[in-house]
Amino acid sequence: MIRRSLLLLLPVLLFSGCHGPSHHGVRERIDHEQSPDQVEISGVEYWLDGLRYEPYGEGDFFVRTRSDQLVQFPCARCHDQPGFAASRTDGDLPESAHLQILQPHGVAEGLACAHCHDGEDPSQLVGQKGPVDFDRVYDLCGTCHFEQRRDWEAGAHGKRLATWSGPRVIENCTGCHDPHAPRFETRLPTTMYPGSEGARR
Amino acid sequence: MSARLPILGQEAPNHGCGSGTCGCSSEAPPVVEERLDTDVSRRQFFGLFGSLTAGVAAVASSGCGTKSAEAAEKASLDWEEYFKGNYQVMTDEEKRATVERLERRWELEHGSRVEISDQNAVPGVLYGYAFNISKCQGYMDCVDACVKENNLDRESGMQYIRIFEMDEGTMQLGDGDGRFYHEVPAAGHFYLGTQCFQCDNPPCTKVCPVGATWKEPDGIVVVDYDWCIGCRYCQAACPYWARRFNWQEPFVPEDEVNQEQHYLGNRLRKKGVMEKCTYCIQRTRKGRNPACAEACPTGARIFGNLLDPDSEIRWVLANKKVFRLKEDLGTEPKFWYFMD
Ligand code: SF4
Repeated sequence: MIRRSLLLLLPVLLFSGCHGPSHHGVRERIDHEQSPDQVEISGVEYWLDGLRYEPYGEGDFFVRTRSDQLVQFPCARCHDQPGFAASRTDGDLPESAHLQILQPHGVAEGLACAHCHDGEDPSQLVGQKGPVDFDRVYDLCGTCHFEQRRDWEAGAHGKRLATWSGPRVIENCTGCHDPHAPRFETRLPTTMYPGSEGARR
Repeated sequence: MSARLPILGQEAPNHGCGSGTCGCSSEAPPVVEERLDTDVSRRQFFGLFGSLTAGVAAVASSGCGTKSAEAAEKASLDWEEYFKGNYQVMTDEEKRATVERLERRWELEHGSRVEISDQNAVPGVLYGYAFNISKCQGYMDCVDACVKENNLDRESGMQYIRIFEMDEGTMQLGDGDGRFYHEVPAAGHFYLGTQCFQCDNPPCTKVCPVGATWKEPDGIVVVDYDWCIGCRYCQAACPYWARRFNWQEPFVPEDEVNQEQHYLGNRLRKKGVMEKCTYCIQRTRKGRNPACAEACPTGARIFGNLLDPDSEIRWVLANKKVFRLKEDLGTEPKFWYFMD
């Protein structure tokens, strides 16, 4: 008798359980378990050692500085003639000079040197609202690329350095993009699927 | 002290149906439970026996110099390692003991030192990943960094990450090319990377007959390489081809071994066991980014804590159009793709 009633129960049990994935999605779980308290991992600052960065805006996060990474500076070392012309000839130029760029940033769209550099002193960046520090170059790039800037502030564009927890330090625009040729270069991949065709070991 | 072995389909914290109203039982089938319930006393017995044999070996070898003393020590370590329990049910002391044995054994065998962490999941953390398919250029810097970070077998060329070159306008992963080697990005293509998605409802852990693979409280799916019997059920169960099997003894050149390791992560594996991406558990539990995210020159890879409403990954989930692979399977990957 008991057995039979158990058998009757069987379909009920079978069709009442965890069916369908939608009931317990990870998004629901996140909503349920999230907490505004920051997780603290002791010693996490260690991984930021050696990075130079400055607070952004109110200081919610930090941006890696740029001025300490400039190698062809001041610009007037080459661009010492009126109208950004360079006195140095091709032979004197360091290999990494940006003159080999055939289609400089925005030229097709009518962008000229003086849209970002001071006409008198190319070492000084200027934007719509006046001089811009190399460490705050996002103010200049963000004038046109405001969508990218919004995403970058929020974390969907750009790159967080070293850690996911602790102080948020992110790369400056010019940390990833060459300002004179911002599109990423075309090149061979660093590695390949094992045994790929054309594989060179 | 009595510890029960984890068994079929049973995971420590079941977040799938925490409400308790869905009617699915998280209890293990009683028969299997009984069968596995007896191990501890047996292990203790073997442990005692092990120390005795080691003692005898040490006495026998005394006077023959350090060589044989080391051999005896290694024999004793091997013995204790052989009869240790499943990492999932170890106490913190037992975890410490096993990593110390493994570190010492490495030192005896290789003359160099490695540091194997037994750090537990950080409370309040659930790891998640977002991959920007409009940013990835197919450079594969991530793949390279992953191989080095995780001590992957160089001989077979094992890689956790696959980058697929896809025709623009298509979304069929099956049509993507995972074997490209030419200048990238190629015109008319975009790139999509896969790895273990650390599913919140992972099918792989449920099929393991010995409980050698499970989901940690921070959401990372791990393998106890010393408990895995190499049956490869989990590999067959994974709908994303994320698991890798060691068909041979993995080889990493001595000077390329990443010495910062985790028991559940990049410590050196052996022949006949399964392994997979762990979101670089040895790094991420210390607050660092995974090696792939750190290596990516385009910023296509975003990693963070899903339980932190202010994290970058949460902003992406809230503000971008995101999708996951084979969402209809209900595996709930914690790895999202998005576009600018
Ligand atoms: S291969 Fe190892 S981890 Fe995978 S199911 Fe078999 S025993 Fe479990």
